[in-house]
Amino acid sequence: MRISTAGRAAPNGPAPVVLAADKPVSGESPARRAMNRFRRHRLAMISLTILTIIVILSVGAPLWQGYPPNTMNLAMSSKPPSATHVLGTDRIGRDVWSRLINGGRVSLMIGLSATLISLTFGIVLGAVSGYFGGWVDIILQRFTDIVMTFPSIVLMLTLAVFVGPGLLNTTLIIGGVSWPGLARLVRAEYLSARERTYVEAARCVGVRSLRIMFTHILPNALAPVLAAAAFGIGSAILTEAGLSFLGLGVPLPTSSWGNMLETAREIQVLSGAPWMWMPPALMIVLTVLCVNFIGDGLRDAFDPRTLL
Amino acid sequence: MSTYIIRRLLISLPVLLGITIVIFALINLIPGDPATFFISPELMGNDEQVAIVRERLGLNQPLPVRYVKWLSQTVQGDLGFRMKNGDRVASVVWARLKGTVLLVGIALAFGATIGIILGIFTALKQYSAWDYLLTGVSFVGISMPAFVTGIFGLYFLSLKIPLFPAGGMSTVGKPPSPQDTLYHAILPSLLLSFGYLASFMRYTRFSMLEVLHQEYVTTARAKGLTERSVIAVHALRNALLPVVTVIGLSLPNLVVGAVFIETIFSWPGMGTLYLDAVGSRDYPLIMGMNLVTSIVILLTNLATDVAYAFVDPRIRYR
Repeated sequence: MRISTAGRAAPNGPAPVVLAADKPVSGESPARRAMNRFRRHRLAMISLTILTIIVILSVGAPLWQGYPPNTMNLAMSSKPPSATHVLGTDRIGRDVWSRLINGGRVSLMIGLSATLISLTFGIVLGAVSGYFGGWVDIILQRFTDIVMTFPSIVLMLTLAVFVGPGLLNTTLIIGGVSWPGLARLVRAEYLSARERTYVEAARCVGVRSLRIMFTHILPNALAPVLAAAAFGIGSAILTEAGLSFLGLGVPLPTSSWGNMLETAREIQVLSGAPWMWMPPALMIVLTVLCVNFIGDGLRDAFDPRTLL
Repeated sequence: MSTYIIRRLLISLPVLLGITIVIFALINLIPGDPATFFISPELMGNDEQVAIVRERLGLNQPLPVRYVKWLSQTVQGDLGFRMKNGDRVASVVWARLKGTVLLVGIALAFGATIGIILGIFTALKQYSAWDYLLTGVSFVGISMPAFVTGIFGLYFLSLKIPLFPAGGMSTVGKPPSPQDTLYHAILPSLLLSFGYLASFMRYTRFSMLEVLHQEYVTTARAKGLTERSVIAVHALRNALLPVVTVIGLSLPNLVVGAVFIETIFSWPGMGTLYLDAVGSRDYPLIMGMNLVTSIVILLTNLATDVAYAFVDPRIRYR
């Protein structure tokens, strides 16, 4: 289930790489150009719209939940969808719709914060490794190798069992295990950037290394990294769902899409009560699909080589 | 070639040694005392009892001493015993390994074959309706985790339309036979292969498109070669080179790549065993499985490099 956080080398682009040499030079800024390119990526725009709706539904969950997500009502247990409970109720009579949108909050929040953590790790380690080179690079790369050698699922399962389930733990585990791909990408950007004249110029006038790394080079290296981070969010949402599905992620009664899906591990629920597990399953796939399409659009938008 | 393989094997040894240190350190740095596993809860506060158990398990010795002891046993193929029931770790792992290799093996073979064929097809028909349709499906494929595919597959293809068994490795009450095992493996393998299929298709399509835009392909066409031989002889070979790497990178999945599908279909494989091991904190089993996993990964990485040097004559090996 590892979704690659690979950069522009991954085969996700819908268009082949065509050199835009014969295109007239436009006077727009790179950021503006990227934005225009992104807007022309139709699937990415549709995905952005759908994702926005999902985010609004989840973030504003208390406004349209109807029922509190964790209140049991045993008189109304395992009821199929009806006028009073749009998506039915679960086995202890909690409203599935309410748990679905509240669960979305949890899943999206974990996806986002785990990616922020791995982005921080990835940028700092990749930047230090690429900018300084030498033995610092060698040590950091061997460390990255070791983390990468182990299938991330093994690492995460082990950590999840030993630190115990919980919102914060799950976020930290996902973030702490998924940075190597980003670090590699950032390192490659820094390796080429440090030879550029603007970096040499900055060094000549005596700018400190840290400042060069994070205020001079970083903005120039950020575009492909952000596209990869978008894929990272999708992957983090999947990982949270997977861990929770195994009962090692978000603990009950808090709902998340993963632990709602976990109910389907009971054969009676799986076969007799599809309203309990189909909505979270579809939400996971829809959200990740949207995030991946947006990542795709971002990468095409930032990559000057693709012609849209 | 053989010196290259031997050299690579020798380089792998220190890495393997490093991995054993990491595995050992990780397990021993994790909070929790393995000795408590052997003591009934009523005696928990009894320090004397705990001390006796620690003494018997050798937990009182310093870490480096314990590491060397563990390593020397491991090198002799002795992975110790499960804490849970005293089974030999090596034989348990071996039995489960066969289950997972069967499951993931079918999935990988099927996914890679169909994925590569579809990838070539969509690249040749770029911008056609087929291209859009299949590329769209592959995007769904990489966005769909195995636990969702597994749940939907189990629901529709086993419970609603009873085409396949709902789980396990053999029919209850029947003597185990290869046919029966295969019959039970089909549905989980096919569901697992969907993700592989999607990613192989994407890699092949991308790589093929890139090659088709190279100048030597234009040259081949300009020489008046038939389109068939341009693609089959000139383009395909180079396009499939990166795919070899992707196949190599997927091989470690043969060990632990099916945690979710195994859980959903109650398949006795490495994934379910690992969950069991970490869940019950069965330290010898966890260490043994981690070790087997890392050896398989090292070997498959080596095999990938060798295969790559073999199929790409431009790579020099010394």
